[in-house]
Amino acid sequence: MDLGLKGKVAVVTGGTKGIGRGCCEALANEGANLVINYRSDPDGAENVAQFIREKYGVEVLLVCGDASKEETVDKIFDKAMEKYGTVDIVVNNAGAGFAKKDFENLTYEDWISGQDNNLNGQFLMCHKYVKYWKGLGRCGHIVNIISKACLMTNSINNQIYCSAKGGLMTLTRTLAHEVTKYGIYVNCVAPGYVQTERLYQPGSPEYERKKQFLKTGEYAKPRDIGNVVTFLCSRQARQIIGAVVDCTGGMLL
Amino acid sequence: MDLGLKGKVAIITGGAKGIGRGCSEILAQEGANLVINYRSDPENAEKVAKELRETCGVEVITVQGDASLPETVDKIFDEAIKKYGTIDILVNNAGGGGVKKNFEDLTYEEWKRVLNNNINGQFLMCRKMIEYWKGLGRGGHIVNVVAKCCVISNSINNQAYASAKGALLSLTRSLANEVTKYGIYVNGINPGYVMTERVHRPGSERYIQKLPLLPTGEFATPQDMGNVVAFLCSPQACQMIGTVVDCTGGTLL
Ligand SMILES: NC(=O)c1ccc[n+]([C@@H]2O[C@H](COP(=O)([O-])OP(=O)(O)OC[C@H]3O[C@@H](n4cnc5c(N)ncnc54)[C@H](OP(=O)(O)O)[C@@H]3O)[C@@H](O)[C@H]2O)c1
Ligand SMILES: NC(=O)c1ccc[n+]([C@@H]2O[C@H](COP(=O)([O-])OP(=O)(O)OC[C@H]3O[C@@H](n4cnc5c(N)ncnc54)[C@H](OP(=O)(O)O)[C@@H]3O)[C@@H](O)[C@H]2O)c1
Repeated sequence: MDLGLKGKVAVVTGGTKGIGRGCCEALANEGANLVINYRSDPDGAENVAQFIREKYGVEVLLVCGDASKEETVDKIFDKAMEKYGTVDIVVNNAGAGFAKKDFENLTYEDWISGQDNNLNGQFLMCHKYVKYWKGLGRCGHIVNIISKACLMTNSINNQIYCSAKGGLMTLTRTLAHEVTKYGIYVNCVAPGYVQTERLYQPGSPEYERKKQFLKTGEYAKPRDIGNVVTFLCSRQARQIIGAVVDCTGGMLL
Repeated sequence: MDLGLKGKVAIITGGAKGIGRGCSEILAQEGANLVINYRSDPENAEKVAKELRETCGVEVITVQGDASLPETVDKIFDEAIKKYGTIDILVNNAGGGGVKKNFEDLTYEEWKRVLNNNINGQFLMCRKMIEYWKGLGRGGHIVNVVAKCCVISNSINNQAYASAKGALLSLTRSLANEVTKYGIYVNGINPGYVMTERVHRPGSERYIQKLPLLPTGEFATPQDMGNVVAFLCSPQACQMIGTVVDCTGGTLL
């Protein structure tokens, strides 16, 4: 199936590790050129960029910065425009859980900080993109990475993350409602348990404990999520609009 | 994206017209061999089969019969095995035939007829495939075609059809929960307004009435649905389990 992404330009936030990297590789495999935002570990980022260039023969631009900050969002777009002259796809992948505490022990600063990382930065990216894209009269795509945690309540002591992801899910749907008529497709993907360098490393207690819950008996791989994200950015998925795509491997059943 | 469907064997119920035909086309384009079930109009079914053999270079057999009857389900299965020796994919597409009446005027016979066509036949097909796959200790893919009326109640005077599709949605999820551990993937698609000969024929009253409701300004095509179905049958969608993909083109927002 030719997804028609050859030569498209895709921004992936937090794209050098974990699910973000899976998205980058899946998009690159379809011939998309990349703008990869990362926050730390510049050497690691450079290695990933070089690996992707060599393996997939696409162009890769790295942009360092915290994607929850306005100046980083501006920088990502400015550099992308400078190099490629366009941005076709935005994958809002950056995001992370927050220290788990009993609700009454959370501070307002915790709340704001988790929200910055999981909702406010995504707002800024969407905002920038829609402003840029609205007048172009072409098809563009935004895919937001949410989490099963905002659809079920089994993730305890995790209100900040769950609420912010819930906000991102609803932003996806309401934004889709508003901008579909301009050719902008907005969808979100809900991963379940994805094995990354940071999470669910074989041998860790967390890995063994969660494994028993997995319907397939196996953790998802970053690339599994990347493949769905990539499909959503294709013409073939053009009836999928404002959708919350359950990629939790059956965790919500 | 290579969906890995080359040489797979797919059954599509009601696969010679409308959305079913779109599924047949896309699966054939991805290299799958087909078993197309149809109910009426054998000339059309033969024509579709011939076209797909010629354009896609795949094998296609057609099996006549009402897919809601146990004898047809057996016949589809037997003929598929006779021809190919295996079955990898089932698309439960056949359905429709809702009876639009005020609820108090809907007879029990009508209710049962609509349920037969939209959930009981699908149950029989699923049971046949699960028995077969489990018996061999191998996996497979089922995709059920539901309808947006089981998620949103704006389709008035349509209780029998909506209830049957609601049952199919729940069957999809609960069956996935049971059989994922055997490597059997059960998912669904939720079409919105799809342009078919019967349902939304260009120029028809229904077409003209529905067009302004569509966020993209266009009806979905049967091929749009086929693309999502094909993706769901691929290893790329391995984290989609019991997922009913919203393909309503934004009409649930
Ligand atoms: N893994 C799962 O099972 C799972 C399940 C549900 C949802 N998710 C979601 O999927 C997304 C990716 O998660 P992951 O598991 O792949 O995490 P990960 O392995 O920790 O990778 C996330 C990457 O994003 C970067 N990042 C985080 N916040 C950033 C920011 N504000 N600006 C720039 N980069 C940032 C991180 O940078 P640093 O290296 O500097 O920290 C890291 O490289 C997140 O939104 C997460 O909530 C993951
Ligand atoms: N079109 C839409 O907008 C829409 C929206 C939501 C859901 N759907 C669902 O999508 C599926 C396909 O609908 P469609 O719009 O493509 O309808 P369609 O154009 O009427 O085509 C349906 C095909 O399935 C066949 N069929 C129906 N019941 C059957 C049975 N019991 N056994 C064998 N074949 C049977 C029909 O055969 P005959 O030619 O003999 O009638 C017809 O060829 C249905 O499940 C429907 O409920 C459609």
